[in-house]
Amino acid sequence: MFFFLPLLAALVDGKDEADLIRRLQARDPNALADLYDRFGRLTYALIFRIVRNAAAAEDLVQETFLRVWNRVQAFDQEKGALGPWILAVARNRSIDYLRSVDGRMAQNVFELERMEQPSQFTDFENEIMNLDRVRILKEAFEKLTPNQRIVLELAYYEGLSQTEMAARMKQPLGTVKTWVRTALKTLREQLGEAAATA
Amino acid sequence: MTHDELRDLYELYVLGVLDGEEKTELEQHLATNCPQCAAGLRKALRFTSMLGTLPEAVEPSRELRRRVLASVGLEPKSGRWWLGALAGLSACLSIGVVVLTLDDTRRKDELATVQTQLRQTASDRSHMEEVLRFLNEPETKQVVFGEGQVQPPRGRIFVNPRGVALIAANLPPAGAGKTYEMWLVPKTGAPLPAGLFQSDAQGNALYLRTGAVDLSGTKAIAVSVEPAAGSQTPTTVVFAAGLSE
Repeated sequence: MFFFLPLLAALVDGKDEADLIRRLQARDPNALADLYDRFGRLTYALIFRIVRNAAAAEDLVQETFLRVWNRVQAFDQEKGALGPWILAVARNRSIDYLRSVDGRMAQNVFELERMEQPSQFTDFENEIMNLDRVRILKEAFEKLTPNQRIVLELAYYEGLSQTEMAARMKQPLGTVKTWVRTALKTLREQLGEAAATA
Repeated sequence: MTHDELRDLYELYVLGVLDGEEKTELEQHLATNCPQCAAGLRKALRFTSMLGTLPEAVEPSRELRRRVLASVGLEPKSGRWWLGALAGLSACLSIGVVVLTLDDTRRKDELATVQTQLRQTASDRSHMEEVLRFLNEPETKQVVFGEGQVQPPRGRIFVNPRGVALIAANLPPAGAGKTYEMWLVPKTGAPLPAGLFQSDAQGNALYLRTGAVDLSGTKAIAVSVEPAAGSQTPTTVVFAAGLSE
């Protein structure tokens, strides 16, 4: 149950999300506090998982919320999904940090920036991150083979390309691609998601 | 590659981990504004957003909430609610005595205005301090742009491997529904978006974009005017400043 605590905070008062966006855009002083109370623990958990360093994670949480505060004017009040947007900003900041620490070149900055634009996070289904879906995803993830879990973790938590994963794992690129695709397909099916088509 | 084959790549693309020929092929296809692929990417984004909920819970320090709020110049509400309540009650009693002597809501409005101005000032100061820290980093290089032009924008760009800062003057407001967008222009390939910003009514702009910058692979920093949500490629160029080797 402990696993779900950050999510519970994120999902409480979820129906008031449009109001929270409006207040953020109006620069209501309490709105950022409410945003942090709702998503702060979830954001910290994700960033800490990526950077594995408490001090760096707290710096990145601060940077994430500052970025959201500065960009929220472009967010759709009625159709925007704050949770997925904040997690995307948090992941991108964390991977940027990992790359700078590791001395890795910034790759795919364009895609990450593009997929972080507020306009991308509109028209999501209501309660996309509801507890049932998260539980199903968690269980499905734990049923993946070890190699399938590793490649998804390398992709999501470290931002490694498939070529970089193959080098890291000393495996043929084709094998890595198969693991990645099978893992994503399994999770998608368990969530009852159709393939990513129109 | 057919749509069925491209479908497997959407999730990797939105995660920013697609590379090689597959990435090239998908991007070429996306450049045709294919509605099927656009819808597929959005669906992939919705699906991959869920992955951010997988990490185990870890508690941040109590101090973090204060830091987050202070970073935009806000005073946090105390986590120890009873201490806050006592302090609040005490403050209310004190303020109440004063407020009762005030004759109308005008003074409350003035007080609210002053509080808003104070918050804004604190926010500006926090932002300025962040920029100054960046400028003072030993690796930071600066580039002057707009010198000698009749109608500049002019100013300076500061860059190091951890970010880019822009200080500009004579940059008129972008206009309703528009924004300025910064771009990192690589030596090869398309410009990379580096964030959105606005100038003030006097045409001044101070913008800091943090994040890894490949200095050796970047030939210029450019600024364009774009729709409020930003663009994936620049549609106009207001100015560009070259980075010397």
